[in-house]
Amino acid sequence: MLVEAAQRGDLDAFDELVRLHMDRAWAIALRVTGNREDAEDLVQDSFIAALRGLAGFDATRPFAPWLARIVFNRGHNLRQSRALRTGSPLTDDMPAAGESPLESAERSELRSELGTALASLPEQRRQMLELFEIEGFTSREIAEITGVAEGTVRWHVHQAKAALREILARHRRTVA
Amino acid sequence: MNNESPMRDPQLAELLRAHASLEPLDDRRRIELATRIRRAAAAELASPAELPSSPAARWPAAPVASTRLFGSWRRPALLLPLAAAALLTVVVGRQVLGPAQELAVPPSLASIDDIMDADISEAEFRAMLAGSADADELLLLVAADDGE
Repeated sequence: MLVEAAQRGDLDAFDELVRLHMDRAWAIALRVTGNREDAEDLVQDSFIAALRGLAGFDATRPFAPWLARIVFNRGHNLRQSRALRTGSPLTDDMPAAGESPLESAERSELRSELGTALASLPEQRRQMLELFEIEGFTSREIAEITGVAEGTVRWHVHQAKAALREILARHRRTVA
Repeated sequence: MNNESPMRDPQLAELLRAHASLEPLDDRRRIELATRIRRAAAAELASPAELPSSPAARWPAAPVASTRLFGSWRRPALLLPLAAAALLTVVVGRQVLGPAQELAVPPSLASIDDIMDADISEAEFRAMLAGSADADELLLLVAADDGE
């Protein structure tokens, strides 16, 4: 078992754990921090925190949810302890192939409206929505990560989607 | 409360990705980050930081506000029913046992005031609630109280 070997101080085993769980940790860190630089720091910090806590970790339990919870919690603490770097979403407002200037403008406007709507969501709800829709986590996994009940996660995702769908519908009516 | 798992919405997901399009971890960054972590882990194993002394410290640090059970709106929402349940237990217990018998209260059990004033994590909270260490038990307690 990798975890048990890492608990005994085997650096190669810990390295393998890092390799196996890096992408998942990265996805959560990115959603919590909103930018790559802080996400990288958070992932590193979380793996080292996990290494320190391994001695008290029950190796019969799954490692992934435990690590995910560490990433999420430390990310939240990071947000509160200092201002994170300003995220620079890689929005691309260049017209896509075959897209008219009008369609491009409409797409840009929709993005802008979506951005406003996302910003108006409570932070926790936005993160749950992004973890669900973008990163593909299940509501159960998000519940494990965030430490709230699965039903609460579903409710938050449902509410967030309802709010965003309303904006999309309004946009479609305007375009039509 | 919506108890059904929300359906995935490909169109919405695409829009969200386009809006919050932060690059996935590419191979170069993954290798660099893994190298940084390995270096830090090697240093950590060579001279481990002082091990945490409290049981709570072995748990992932709870977010300061989001999952702390005593933050903002959750404080009254959770603790008032808890206080009511505790009071009800004492009253009903006295009626059942009679005035001559005392309810056995663990000396380690914190008072409601202590809990409300505490600035502690979820794990610490669970530990404080001796006999109610499982969060699910606590929720059942609250739910039972709400149902009365």
